[in-house]
Amino acid sequence: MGSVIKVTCLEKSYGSLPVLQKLSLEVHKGEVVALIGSSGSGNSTILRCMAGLEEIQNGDITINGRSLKTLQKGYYGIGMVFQSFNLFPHYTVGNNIMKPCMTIRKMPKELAYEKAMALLEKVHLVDKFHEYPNNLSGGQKQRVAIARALAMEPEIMLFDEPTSSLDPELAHEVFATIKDLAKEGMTMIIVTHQIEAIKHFATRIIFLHNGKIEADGTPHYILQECPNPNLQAFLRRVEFDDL
Amino acid sequence: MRDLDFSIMIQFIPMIGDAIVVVLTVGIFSFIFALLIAIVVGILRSGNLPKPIKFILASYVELVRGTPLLVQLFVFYYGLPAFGIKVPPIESAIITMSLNSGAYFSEIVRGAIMSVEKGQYEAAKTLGYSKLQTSLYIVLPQAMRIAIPSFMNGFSTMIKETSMVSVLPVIELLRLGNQIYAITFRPFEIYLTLAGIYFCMTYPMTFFAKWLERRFSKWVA
Repeated sequence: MGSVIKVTCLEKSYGSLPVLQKLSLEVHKGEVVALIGSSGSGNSTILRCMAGLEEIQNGDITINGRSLKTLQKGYYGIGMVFQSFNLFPHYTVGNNIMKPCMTIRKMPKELAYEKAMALLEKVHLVDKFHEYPNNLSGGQKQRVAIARALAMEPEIMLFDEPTSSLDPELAHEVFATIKDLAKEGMTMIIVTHQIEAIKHFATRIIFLHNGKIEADGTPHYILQECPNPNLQAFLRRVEFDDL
Repeated sequence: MRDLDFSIMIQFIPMIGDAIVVVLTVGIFSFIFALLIAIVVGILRSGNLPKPIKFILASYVELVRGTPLLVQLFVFYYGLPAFGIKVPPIESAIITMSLNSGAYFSEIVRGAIMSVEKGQYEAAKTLGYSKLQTSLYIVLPQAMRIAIPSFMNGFSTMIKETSMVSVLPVIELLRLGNQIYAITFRPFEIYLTLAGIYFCMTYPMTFFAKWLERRFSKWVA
């Protein structure tokens, strides 16, 4: 399997505070990678760098072999789902999906409509087509955000703590949608603290500590066997937080 | 003390009608041009522009806000002919009021743009929107909803400010009132009538503003 995204010696700091330190990472087609770690360990920053939302100070990120530095404008095959949904509030649910298709992909309206309907069916929200995001629950908003990102036919989907602002029931809805995508073979990177939910469908878990990868392996290895003390401490803390 | 007699105004109704047309012409055209100026200046000032351009735009806004409209009208109409630029009075009034209100409105636009969440820009960027597309399709519609009440308030103010145009040779309501006063010496009836006319022109704006606000706020609970 070829790598969809490759991060090489990525360095990023905010002022004098280093956030990512010579971080290298490769994600292959069809992989579902969960990025875990304490807040401030750099998880979200990696995603933001991949999505072009943060300037890369040192190192490189390539998508299907093409450097992000040369792909700064337009859509380059990365779908991003945010913690705070970031749906466009002035568009209906349908238009949140259709408008980017029509504006960016120059899709005819009829085709964009069909695509929006198909995607809303996928996330079980067809009946919300004409609603404004403000009338949706958090879980529904996040599923629309996923549908909107999918509408652009991304090579890889990035999820930045997609369920952090949701209560457990709504978080379950969103994870069910992500799980469906995993079954379809979508390449995904998910930053989350909800390890219990992700461990059943992630193919790989990466643990970050102070901007460095400290552990990388299958969910079984990371959660049961990896001896890394920082990971052990983190897992104990997460378990305690979940109680 | 003498009795009030509003019937003295009846004979001036045709002239009052003409003056109302002047007020609305100056008010509406100035408002439209001010809006256009405000949107352009507001967007430019909230973006990342080279310092000299930012300085020029900031100077325009501060200069206009720091000087009275009356003085600006004098400078434009009476001052510019000294440099060979002669603009007719109504056009002078429209240009001056557009520039004046454009500066104030641009700050409303800038504030409204800055109140749009950062996440909206980020979502647009990850979907492949260019900066211009993000401004036009994502940020401006949201900013306009925030700005509408202030704009509508600004329009009412502009209609009332047209009374300042009376310093130019333009027969608008206040200047006409002064002329009627010179004939009838009935100030209370005249100026009270004028106040009523201004009120009738601006009050319906509150209903229009509410309708517009509702229309632009469909997506807000």
